[in-house]
Amino acid sequence: MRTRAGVCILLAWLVTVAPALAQRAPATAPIGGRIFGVVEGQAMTATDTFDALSGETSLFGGGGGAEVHGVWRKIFLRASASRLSVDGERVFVFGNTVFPLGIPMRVQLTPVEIVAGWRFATPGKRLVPYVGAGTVIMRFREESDFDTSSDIVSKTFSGAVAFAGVDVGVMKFVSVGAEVGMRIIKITRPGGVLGALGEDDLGGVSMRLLVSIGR
Amino acid sequence: MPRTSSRVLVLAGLTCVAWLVLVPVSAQQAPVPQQPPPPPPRGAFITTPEQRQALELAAVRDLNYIPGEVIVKFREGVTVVGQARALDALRSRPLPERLQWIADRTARLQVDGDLDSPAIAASLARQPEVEFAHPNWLLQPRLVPNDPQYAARQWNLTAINMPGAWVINAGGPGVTIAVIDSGVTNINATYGFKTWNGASIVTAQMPFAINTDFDAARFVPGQDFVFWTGPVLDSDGHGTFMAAVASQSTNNSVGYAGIAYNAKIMPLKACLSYWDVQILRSEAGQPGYAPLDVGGCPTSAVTTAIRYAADNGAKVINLSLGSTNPSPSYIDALNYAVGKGVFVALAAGNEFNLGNPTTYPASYAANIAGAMSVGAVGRSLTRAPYSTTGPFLEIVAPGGNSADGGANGVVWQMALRESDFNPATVIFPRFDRYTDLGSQGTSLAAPHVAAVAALLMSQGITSPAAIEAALTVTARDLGEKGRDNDFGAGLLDPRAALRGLGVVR
Repeated sequence: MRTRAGVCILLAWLVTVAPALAQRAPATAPIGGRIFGVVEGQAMTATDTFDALSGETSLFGGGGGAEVHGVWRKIFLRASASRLSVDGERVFVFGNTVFPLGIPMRVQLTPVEIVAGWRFATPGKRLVPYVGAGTVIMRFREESDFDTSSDIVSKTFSGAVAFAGVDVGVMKFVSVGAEVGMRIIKITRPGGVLGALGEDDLGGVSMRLLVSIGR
Repeated sequence: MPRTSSRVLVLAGLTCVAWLVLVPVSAQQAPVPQQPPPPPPRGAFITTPEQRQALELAAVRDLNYIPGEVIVKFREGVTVVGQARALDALRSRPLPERLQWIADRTARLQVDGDLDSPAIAASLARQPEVEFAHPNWLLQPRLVPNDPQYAARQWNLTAINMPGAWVINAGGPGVTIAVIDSGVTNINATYGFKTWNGASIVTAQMPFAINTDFDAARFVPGQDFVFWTGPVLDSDGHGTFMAAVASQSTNNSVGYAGIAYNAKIMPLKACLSYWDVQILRSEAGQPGYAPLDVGGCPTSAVTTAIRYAADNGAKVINLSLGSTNPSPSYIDALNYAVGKGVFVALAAGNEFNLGNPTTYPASYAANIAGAMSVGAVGRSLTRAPYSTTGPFLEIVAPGGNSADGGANGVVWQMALRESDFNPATVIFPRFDRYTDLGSQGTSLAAPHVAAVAALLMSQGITSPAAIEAALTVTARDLGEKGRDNDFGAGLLDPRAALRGLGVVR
């Protein structure tokens, strides 16, 4: 609860106070901030694993975040979180053969990204391309029918992310954007299907659509 | 509808009602003598008088093979002429017609007038036409009897968390387990068999009954390979006990639980009991008692039963039998079964304290993906002192250990009442009464694994090799870290095997 309140205060500060601060110092880069919502899909690097468990190789979900730009020249800082999930069933893998076991399961990935980026045009322009990179901390949760509390897998992994996108201003404080990213989240000594199929990366290529409010 | 038709219908209806009401009354007034039920079908005996005599001789001479019998496999492409040439090497020069084929190129040969099976086999093995030849080994059930003392606790099932596994799979529905053993009685019937009463050969009525803690509907047709062509009858109790461990009815408020309690059981009789031999002896007109320790499971019958199970719908085979004598024919039969999608569980042996010899056919399982040799642990999950160890041991399961918990440390099931047919004390046996029975041995460990394999088959792992892999990777490591010769991969963990794999675990 306290965390959520802190996040709200931070966002409010980013949207209101930070631009005001930026106005006080127009000679340097204008500081601005915005919040955004995102829908995204991630084509998993571990395609065999997710195909075996769910018949899908992409996970979909959504989330949101906040961004401060103009901290120094055209650099921006961003924090975001999203949740991706897929339903499937547990399996046993023997060689290249996958035996579905009919035990329903759900996998949730919650990547939290802290990144820095560079905008190629000043805010306010209609088209603003940007690139960025940073770290991703991913909360991983996997649960199945018949699970006891000790069976549920809830772990945190970390990795790196890089992305590129473009913002399109649609109103004075509203923009939409599209972004392509690459997450690399390596697992050391993976078990489960990941290990059985020789894969070790819970990252992938993400496609994101963003709607931003703020300067 | 015309009124006349209505009246006819009403009249007909009344007539029917009257008939229904009155007929039972009139039946009561004039009871018809009830016909006695037809006698149960009686089969022809499979074991010939010569074979029965050979079995008795084996018991008297303490031989682990049937005297005068060998198993021979000819090389690929050997014709009848070649077979005859090979058989000419024997003193009795039997004709190829004497070969009783039990598999492709593999036959059982009974040689007249020569009881030295090892010598016969050695002569044949030297012939270029022969791939291998060996005596028709007698396997023995792998159970160490224990004085029964009632105990309702089935520690063996909680030790492997069966309740946690049954939540995922309710007893292996849709899978058939073949129990190759002394038989599992699947008929309620009384047979008049000849036996010796101490003074003369008499016909005794011997009742047989299905285990009272076993749903008769869960039997699929079985086959007798040693005694007769009639229904499968267990006159020893070993096979019934193995079936009980694997699949005794559960949640029926009776007796004990079984592991794969919704699986079907295919009873395949490949072992002759004392009473089988005694009956064969008396039916042949030979007075007297058979030796008390007579009986066993001819290799020829066991390998034929393995093939039969694979050809007739079984998906799992339990083999709680073994000996210290090798036979490549086991390898052929096991490979045949696994090739047909059948998983095989084999008791590793109870000879640790007898020099810990390599046992067969269990040791062959180590090189066959889809067949597993099973050792035994006691209640505290330490190796049972009798349980054979070695590089061929693949997994362990509860087999009981009376030194580790006394009567509460053995494996209990509802099984045939041994005092009803103990040949040392009984003249006219019966095989229709069941009671609590506790025993120990790798015999009992193997059906744990067979039954869990049935659960896995039912859950969707249809490849025997994959089942072996699933059981191996999910086994709970015991003893030295990793695989070791005492516990193999470790203790059977049905729940973990059934849960399979998620993304990372």
